[in-house]
Amino acid sequence: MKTVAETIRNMLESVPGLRAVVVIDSDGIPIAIEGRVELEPEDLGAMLASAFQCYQALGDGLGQFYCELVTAEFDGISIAQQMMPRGSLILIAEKSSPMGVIRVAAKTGRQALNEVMETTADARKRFMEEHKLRLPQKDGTPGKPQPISLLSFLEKRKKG
Amino acid sequence: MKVVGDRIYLKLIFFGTALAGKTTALEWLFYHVIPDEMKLVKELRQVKTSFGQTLLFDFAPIEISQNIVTRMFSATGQDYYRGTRTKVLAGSDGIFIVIDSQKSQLENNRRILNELWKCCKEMDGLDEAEIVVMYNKNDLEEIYPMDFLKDYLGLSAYDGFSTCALTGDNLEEALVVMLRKLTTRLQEEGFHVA
Repeated sequence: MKTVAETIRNMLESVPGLRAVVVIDSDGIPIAIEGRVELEPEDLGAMLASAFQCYQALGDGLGQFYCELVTAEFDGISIAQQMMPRGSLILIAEKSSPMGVIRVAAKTGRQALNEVMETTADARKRFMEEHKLRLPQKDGTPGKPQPISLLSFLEKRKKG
Repeated sequence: MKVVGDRIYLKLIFFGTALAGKTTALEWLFYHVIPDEMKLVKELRQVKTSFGQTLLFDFAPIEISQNIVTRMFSATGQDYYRGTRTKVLAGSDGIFIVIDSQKSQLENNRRILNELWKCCKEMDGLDEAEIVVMYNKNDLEEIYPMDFLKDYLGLSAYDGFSTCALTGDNLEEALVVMLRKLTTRLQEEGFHVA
């Protein structure tokens, strides 16, 4: 089965005019980015998630169940943000790309990603457990200095 | 807390009434306390209203330890945006409650704390978030002392600091206490934190 990165890379290559394809989780944590984006991934994720949350809150207020798709047209680019079970898929396209094509690509992409990304709570738990194994070990990498944490930095500075 | 790829993500919120000093406190910490090499962005990301107040949040991601990122948000205090304010709280690991110590703000503080406690009951996992209180604006004259506010607002159970976000008074101390709490929790969950 393809990975998330491979799936969105395929989208980037097959849809004309796409500049970038991004997958973020529901809190804006960037999961995969392909293409050219002029923002730090952390910034991009937070802003996209908050924009989506605004629309979700608006929908709640209007008695709607969930926000499926948000589109934005700027002077140079168009953006389509498609809701997914645990996050969203974002397509950033040249202004010249027809929005209809981008919307269809977003919906098709969601289906493709749904098959790649497991959606149950159990799968999420397994996903986290798997990645916990990849976290730095206590002794660190041999020969590589261990970076200091912010807490250690501040405590040392306080002691002078 | 979330684990994505090889990183742990923590979420830290500054929560309080409008104009209590949440954004100012976050700005002070970001620009005066946190070393540049730990910042994942150069500037605070701010979503402001046209009149300069926080619309949704201010945001600063910090790599507090190897592969551990703390995403610091200051939620809007503007009541007009209370619909999205509570959304920002979701999934928080730590909450800085920023109290406006001015006498005129006593009831507003009580009101927003009620909103927070309600969210803690209703939002999944929020009642487990670590809490540190900043009793802000200690440079002003018409304020209630920290001990009075602790008792009156029912905050005696939490670590608290008399702060001035404009000058940074006691902000670093509050951050250190919060980081200790988060570090302890991570260690209890089996993660290594340098």
